[in-house]
Amino acid sequence: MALRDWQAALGQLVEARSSGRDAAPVLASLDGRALAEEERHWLREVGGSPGFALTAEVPRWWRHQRVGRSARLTLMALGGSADAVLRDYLREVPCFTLFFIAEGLSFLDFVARTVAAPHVRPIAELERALWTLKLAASAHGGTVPELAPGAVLERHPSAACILFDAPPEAVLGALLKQAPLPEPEARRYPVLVAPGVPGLWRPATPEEASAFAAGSEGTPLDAAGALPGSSADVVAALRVAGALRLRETPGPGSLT
Amino acid sequence: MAGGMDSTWKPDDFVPPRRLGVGLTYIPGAPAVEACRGAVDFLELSPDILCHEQFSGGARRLVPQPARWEQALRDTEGVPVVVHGLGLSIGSAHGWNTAYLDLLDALHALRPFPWHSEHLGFLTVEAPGGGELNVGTPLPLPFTEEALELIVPRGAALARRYGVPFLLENLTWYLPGLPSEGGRDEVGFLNDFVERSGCGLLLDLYNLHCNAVNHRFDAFEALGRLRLDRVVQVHIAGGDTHNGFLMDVHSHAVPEPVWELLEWLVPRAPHLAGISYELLDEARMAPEAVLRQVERARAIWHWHLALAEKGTRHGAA
Repeated sequence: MALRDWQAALGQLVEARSSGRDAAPVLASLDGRALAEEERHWLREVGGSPGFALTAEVPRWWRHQRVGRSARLTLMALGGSADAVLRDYLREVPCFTLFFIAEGLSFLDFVARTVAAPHVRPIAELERALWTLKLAASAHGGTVPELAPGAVLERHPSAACILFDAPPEAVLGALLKQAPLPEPEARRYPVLVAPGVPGLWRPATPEEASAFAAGSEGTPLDAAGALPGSSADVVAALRVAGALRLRETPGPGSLT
Repeated sequence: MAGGMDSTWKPDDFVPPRRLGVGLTYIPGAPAVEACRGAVDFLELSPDILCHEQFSGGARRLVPQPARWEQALRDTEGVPVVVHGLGLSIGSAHGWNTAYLDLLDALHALRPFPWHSEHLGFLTVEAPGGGELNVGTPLPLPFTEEALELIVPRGAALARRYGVPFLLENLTWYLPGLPSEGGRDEVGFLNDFVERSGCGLLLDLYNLHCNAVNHRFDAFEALGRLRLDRVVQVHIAGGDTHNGFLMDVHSHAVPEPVWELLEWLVPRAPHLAGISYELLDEARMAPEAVLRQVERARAIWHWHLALAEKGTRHGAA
C-alpha cells in the first residue's frame, strides 16, 4: 500500500460525500494510484456502507455548527433560503478547517459573493468585518497623534466601510426583531467598522465613506490636514474612529 | 524546539509521569468547569481552542487570541494542565500540521505540561488538484507496517520535543473492514506503537466501547490484550446512537458499560496517572450531571491509589 495514496483517496471520498459533491472523479482516480487491487476494491465498495455514510455526516454536521455559530446575523437575513445557501456553500467550498471563525468567514465571503437577495450582501459584509476586527491582534490605542502636513494616512487593515441599501439601524433592528426588512432605496447608507468606534460599528456620512476610500492607497495630507476631496474634520473623525491611521515609515536605522 | 526542559523522557525507555488524579476538559467560561473546580485535580486543554486559523499563500497559521490565552492561564493557575491535541493530524502521510506544533511550543513555554496527547488518525490529505484537503473529522489509519513506520518516529519526536510522555489516543471509527497486516487489529497496532516509540496511551474507554458495539467485538477481551502498563490517561464520556451506530459525541453521561470497563482497567494499569471526563461545549450537559461523573470517577481513582499503596494489582507489569 502507498499510505499517502490510500489516505488521499479515502479522504477525498469522505469529503466529497460530506460536501454533497459527486465522488465519481475520486473513484476514477483510483486506477492511477499506487494501490493494490484489494485496496482499490475496498475504496470502491466502502462508499456504500452505512459506516461511510455516518463518517461523511460528521464533518457536515460540524460545518453546519460552525457556520451557525459564526454567521448568525447573515443566516437570519437569509431566512428560509439559509438551508439552500448552506448546501450550495458546502458543495462549492471544500472543507478546509476545524475552526469556527475560519469557516464562518469563508461562508460570509460566499454569501456576499453569491446571494442577490435584498440586504443580505451588506449584512454578510458587516458580520465578516466585525469578526475580522475582533480577531485583529493589535487593539486601537485610543490616542490620535498630531500630524504634520505631508504625513501619509492609510486605512487600518481591519477597518471597513460597507454600503447598505437602507438605514442600517432599520435593517439590523428589523432583523433582530424578526420583522420584515425595509425596502431597499436608491441611495446608499455607509457603515463604518473600525477599532476606535464604540461597539466597533456606526453609520458613516457619505463624506467619511469617500475619505475612507481615498485612504486605500495611502494619501498625503495637505497643509490644512485634509485629504483630496475630504475636509480636515472628516479626516479627523476617521482618525478618531481608528479607520485611518498614520502610515509607518522606516526609521533611519531600518534595513530597506 | 521546546525540548530539553525538565525531561522525563528517554529514548526507548518509557518513564511514567506522576499521578495527577481526576480531570476535566477545560472550556473557557463553561459552567460545568466552574461547577467541578474543587472536584478535579487537573484540567485537559486543547490549545486549538485558544486560537483562530488563518490561511495565507496556501500556508496554515494558528493565531493566538490574546484574551483567550489570558483567560486560560488565569483559569488554570495552580492546577496541572495536560494537553490534548485536536489538529496535529499525526497520521497524515503527506505531512502533519506544523502550525499546531508551533502553537504547542508557545503553550509549553508559558505552561509546561506533564504529558500531551493526540488522536490516532489523519485529518488532512492531498487535495484533488494539489494542496491540502481537511476531511473535517479524523479518519482511522490502516493497521499496517507502513502506518506504524509513519507514526512511531513522529511519536518519539513529540516526546523528545517537550521532554514529557506523548500519548496516543484510540479513535472511534465507523468504516468497515479497515486494511490490516499480519492479523494486526487496533490493539496490536497500539501495542506495536508504544513498544517501538517509547510513548504511552491515552485510552478512551468510551471510544473503545463504541467500536466494540459498532464492530461487534468484546471490549474486555481487547483490553486484556492491550499494553496496560503504557496506559497513562483514561478518557470517559457518553454519546448517542445515530443510524444504528454508537457515536463519539460526548453528549450524555458515561454509560454503565464504560464504568465497568474503567473498574476492570484500574487494578490492571499500574501507571495510570489520570482519569478525565470529556466535555463538549456543544453538548451542554448540566453542570450537576458533569459533577456527578467526576465524583464517580474520583471514587474509582481513590480505589486505584489504595491498590497502588498495597501493591495488589492484577497482572501489573
